[in-house]
Amino acid sequence: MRYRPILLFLLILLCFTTALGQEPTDETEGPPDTVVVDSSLLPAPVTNLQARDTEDDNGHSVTLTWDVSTDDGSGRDDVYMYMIYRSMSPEGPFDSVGVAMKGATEHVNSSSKDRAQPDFMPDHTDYYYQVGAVTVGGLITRSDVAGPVQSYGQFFNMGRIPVFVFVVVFCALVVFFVASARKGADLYVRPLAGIEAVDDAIGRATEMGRPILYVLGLGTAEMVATIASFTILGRVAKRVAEYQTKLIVPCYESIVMAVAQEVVKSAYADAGRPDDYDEDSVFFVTSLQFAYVAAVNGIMLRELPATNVYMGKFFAESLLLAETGSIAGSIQIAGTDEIAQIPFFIVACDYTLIGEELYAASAYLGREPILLGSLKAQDLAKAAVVIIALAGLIATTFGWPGFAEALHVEN
Amino acid sequence: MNIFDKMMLIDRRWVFLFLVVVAVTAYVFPHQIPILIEAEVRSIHGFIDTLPKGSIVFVPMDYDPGSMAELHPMTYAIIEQCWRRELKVLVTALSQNGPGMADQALRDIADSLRLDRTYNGEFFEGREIVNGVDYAFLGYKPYPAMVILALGQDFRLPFPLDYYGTPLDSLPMMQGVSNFDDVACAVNISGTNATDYWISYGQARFNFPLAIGVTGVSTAQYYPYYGSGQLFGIMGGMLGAAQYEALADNPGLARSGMPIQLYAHLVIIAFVIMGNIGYFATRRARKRAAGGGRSTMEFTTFLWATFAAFLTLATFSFLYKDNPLYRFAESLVVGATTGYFAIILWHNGLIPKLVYERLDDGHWYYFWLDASRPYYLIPAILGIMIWTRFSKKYSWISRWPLALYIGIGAGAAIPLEMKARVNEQLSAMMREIDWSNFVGHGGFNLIDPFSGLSQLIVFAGAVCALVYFFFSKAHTGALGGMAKFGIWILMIGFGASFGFTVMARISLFINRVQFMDTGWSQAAWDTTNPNYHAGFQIFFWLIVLLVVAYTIFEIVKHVKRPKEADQVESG
Amino acid sequence: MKRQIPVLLVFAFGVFTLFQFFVPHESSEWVYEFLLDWILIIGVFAMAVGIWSLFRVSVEKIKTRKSGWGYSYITLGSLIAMMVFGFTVRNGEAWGWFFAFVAAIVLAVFLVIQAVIDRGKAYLFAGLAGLCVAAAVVMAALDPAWSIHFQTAEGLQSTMFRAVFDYTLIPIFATMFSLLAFFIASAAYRAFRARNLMATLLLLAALIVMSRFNPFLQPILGEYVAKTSNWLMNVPNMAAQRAIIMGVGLGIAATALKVVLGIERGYMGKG
Repeated sequence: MRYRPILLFLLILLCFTTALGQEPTDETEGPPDTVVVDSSLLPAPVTNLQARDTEDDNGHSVTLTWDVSTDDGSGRDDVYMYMIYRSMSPEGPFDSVGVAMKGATEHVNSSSKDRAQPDFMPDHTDYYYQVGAVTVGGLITRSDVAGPVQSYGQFFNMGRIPVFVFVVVFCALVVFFVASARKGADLYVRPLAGIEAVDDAIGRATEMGRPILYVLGLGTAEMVATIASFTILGRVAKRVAEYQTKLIVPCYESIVMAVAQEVVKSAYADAGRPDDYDEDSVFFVTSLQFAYVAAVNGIMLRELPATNVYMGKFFAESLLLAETGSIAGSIQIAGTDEIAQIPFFIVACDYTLIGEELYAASAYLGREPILLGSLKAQDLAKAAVVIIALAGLIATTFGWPGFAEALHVEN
Repeated sequence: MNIFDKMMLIDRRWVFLFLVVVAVTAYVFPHQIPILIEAEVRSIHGFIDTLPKGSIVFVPMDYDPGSMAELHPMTYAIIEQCWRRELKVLVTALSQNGPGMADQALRDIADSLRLDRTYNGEFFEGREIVNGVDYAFLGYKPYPAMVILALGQDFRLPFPLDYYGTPLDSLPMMQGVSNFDDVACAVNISGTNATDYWISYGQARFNFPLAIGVTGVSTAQYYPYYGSGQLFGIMGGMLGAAQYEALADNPGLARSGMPIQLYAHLVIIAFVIMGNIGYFATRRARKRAAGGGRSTMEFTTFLWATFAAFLTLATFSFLYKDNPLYRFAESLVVGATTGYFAIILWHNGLIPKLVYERLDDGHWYYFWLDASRPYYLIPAILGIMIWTRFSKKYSWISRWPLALYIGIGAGAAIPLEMKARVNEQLSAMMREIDWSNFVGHGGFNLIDPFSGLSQLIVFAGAVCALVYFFFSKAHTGALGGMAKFGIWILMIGFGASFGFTVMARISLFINRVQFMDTGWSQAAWDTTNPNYHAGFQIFFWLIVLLVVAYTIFEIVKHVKRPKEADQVESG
Repeated sequence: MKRQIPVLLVFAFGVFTLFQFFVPHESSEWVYEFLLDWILIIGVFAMAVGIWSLFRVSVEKIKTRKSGWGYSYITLGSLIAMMVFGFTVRNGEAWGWFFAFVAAIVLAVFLVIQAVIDRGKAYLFAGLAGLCVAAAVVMAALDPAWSIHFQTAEGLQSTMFRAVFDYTLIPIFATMFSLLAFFIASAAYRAFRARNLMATLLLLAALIVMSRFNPFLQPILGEYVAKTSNWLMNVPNMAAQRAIIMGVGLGIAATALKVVLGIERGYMGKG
């Protein structure tokens, strides 16, 4: 018994090497199981072999299902694995295209979609499949041929319907509340300490005659956390322009810098002071994490900003920046959706926007009803999440897992 | 000012100094420390140990040299285990500074595979590891999320060539290997947010077994994914690496760094307690042995290593205050990294995508002469549009590509984040409560994390913390009570996560101490000389002496002029 | 034109990538992969804008003699040198005139900067810069010890490029990162005071989890510390993370949706 796993490994290795090493000319030769053996030792074949196109994919893949050989897990119990064979014609020749472990009743035969690859599998072509039950002794019994079957790509991923429903419902909620806010519905929002601190902080900087440092984090411009940070930067820059305080925005990425320049420039124009905008206030530093930190830390200790604002994606540099800022004696306001960094900002900063609060901040700062409308939609979605989770928990606990399964997304 | 006031107001530099002294002392007198192995580490080791020979293990090494201290030991232990078990390893490095380091690590491990070894009582004969047969190293491409999505289609899509410029199709181990369907599992070792993408853009979209090795700080963040079954194992920081080394019976840098961890921890805990006593009182009133050491060191390498040692100390000098040495290091690193990044983008982004393409026979041909991809003119034109920023008059044109960039990112984020964050977590919340084990195994055990009660607390805590994030309702009444409980849960979670990280951060410092010892001193002295370590020690104690002398000098200066300082402040 | 087209582009591409997620067909994949290439290529071109900004700021510092302006030369010098290293490959063991070539190029750039700053002697400095460039060209053309490769990636493996990375950048990155060991200690010392209930919860949870990793405290505190810290990580921490993950997911979706629909245009400076 101890040698069985080793035998299995050798066998799989053999199958792989033969499958990989086969030259096209070899494929026409008969498979090795044509050797005459005592037929009573051959395992029972798998039954009910079905082949169908794999659902919810881009094609180039066929899903096989079967009932296990009677010698798998019962009978002589000597089936250790299944070999999958494929051919372009029902008569063969069949090539081995994969293996499945004992007990398996399904195998997905997916191949390359790239024409240049050796395992390219064109769509809309007839294929025939066989499954061979393999014993420890290396004896193989092949099943009946299944097919023809064709692979093709789908235009809608049915497995993702729960996500689709969530997205559609949520979009509808956002659009509805934004529209009703536009009509003038009165929307309450509770105060957030970190947001209210922003105004005070700009005032403080003006009194002290020191600049404000705004760090957009290490996110690239297409990340939503960075996009939210741009909006907050716009609000801050507008106040800064009104108070005529100095703003410093060191950027981690050139596209982030380009967008931030547009944001700050427009904010100065909105504040009625387009001429006060200094292009060099928003500048590129470098695109590597710790080099960026080294530079920003240096700026903090030399410029001694009255306030540091950190909004966006932050990683290990969060505490390096925030502790240096506290050494420089700055008031610090932070906001990130990067969970691992929130504790450090909480410990080292004066105000911290936790997770979702970062996304709410832009709406808060603007106080424009249409932006507040989306907050209402987010709240309703959270309430819905709570209710669905509770319903699901109750359903699974009382033996009805269907509810949770319906919401589960496979791929 | 009494003693309690002083306990509250220690200059942070004293904390720094104390930490250095403790860590270095622990390092100079090494000893082993017992390690408790956790299930989430054991499951990775077990999974790899039972894979059939020839299976492919995908090891994305998405970290920079900055996280080497914590993550390198994991990489070394796992890849060595794979190769000893005759598994094949596929490596990518989705971090800008990673590729060179990953390449070096692969060569190092391949070197140690030449030696015969016995692990956990099992004998392994040394063998030659061949690039392209035992492993393939794909290298780096920017924008990890995009690369992972592309890898899910076909490995050749983002990486037509491997790191060394060989077409993937001509590597023996890549024959018939097209995407994640053909790998047995992936173990992402990451010091960046690439792990998030491996989970939400990789595992969630393409469904392959995924385990992660992450820095201590981010470990806590990924436990929910372990809980929801998206990850089959987690190694967190140097402790996780040390556990893996213990499991693999292959002690390396992680285990040797553990003593420093523990003492430095004690120091931090002691400082926190001291600060709190003061608060209440005033209110009332190492280098791996494998691979065959380099016996001689070139003089230029020695010079470089000395320069590296100098830069290390220059950067540390920031702890005291901003100074010309730090400023020199800072200016140098900003310029050199920008140049480095530009070169990487040029060679890995611009040339292969737009200008030249390398053919399978190793020749390059001029891309534009070939009409097969004329549509690549579109992104090229968009890229050039960004350059209108150089002009004041036409800079508005640059908004087009920027808008496009943001549009693609925002649109893709909506369904992906909905699925990876909301749907998956919601499914995980709907797990059945284990009534049979409601109060914990073995009778009444409140701190069993898998008891029914604990599961219920996770659920209630998550719900209340979500209520805390309600923006449009005042936090009063029942809702207020829930929100209050929610913020408590959040704070406890943050505290735990912070405490978990302390260790990881100390390991970074250990790495620098190890570098100053093995990295620099090996370069400085002939390693075959048994006294080279002593040479380092002399050097190191000189530095310590210098620091102490300087501190005394500062204190004397401070004691001499306390009144002046007061006057300045009051004035 | 200046404002509408960007909003339209965001809408069109946002809606496409949103729906692409649900369409597995090859054609939709092909377009999506092509779009990913766009992002990459735009990013490469944008790098030039970033380097330009770094130059502007550095030159401005030198021009106004702002304190520490001398360091700007180090930044620019190392930037240029690194780029030269990335495009040159040695053909053997000899260095030849390589370092003179690098110095000539760096010097040429410094002279151009001087010409920009000192308008009065602009011609003199520009002329000298021209001489340096000419010298560099002559060296590149005549020295057989090394050659320039713009179109192939050999430069990434060149000795100097790797050495600067291994012995200059890595030590600084790693040391910068390791400063966290100190900062985490000082942050813990400064901030972990039992000021109010929330701060106390944070402090206690952190202390329990920290002491778990310490075998000296374990005999004193018993195995309950290890178990409690495990419980803290797996129960309250898990709950906190779940809530944040879901909240952030909804926040991202809402913000992204507002951006795609053009409701929020803060990224273009218009709220």
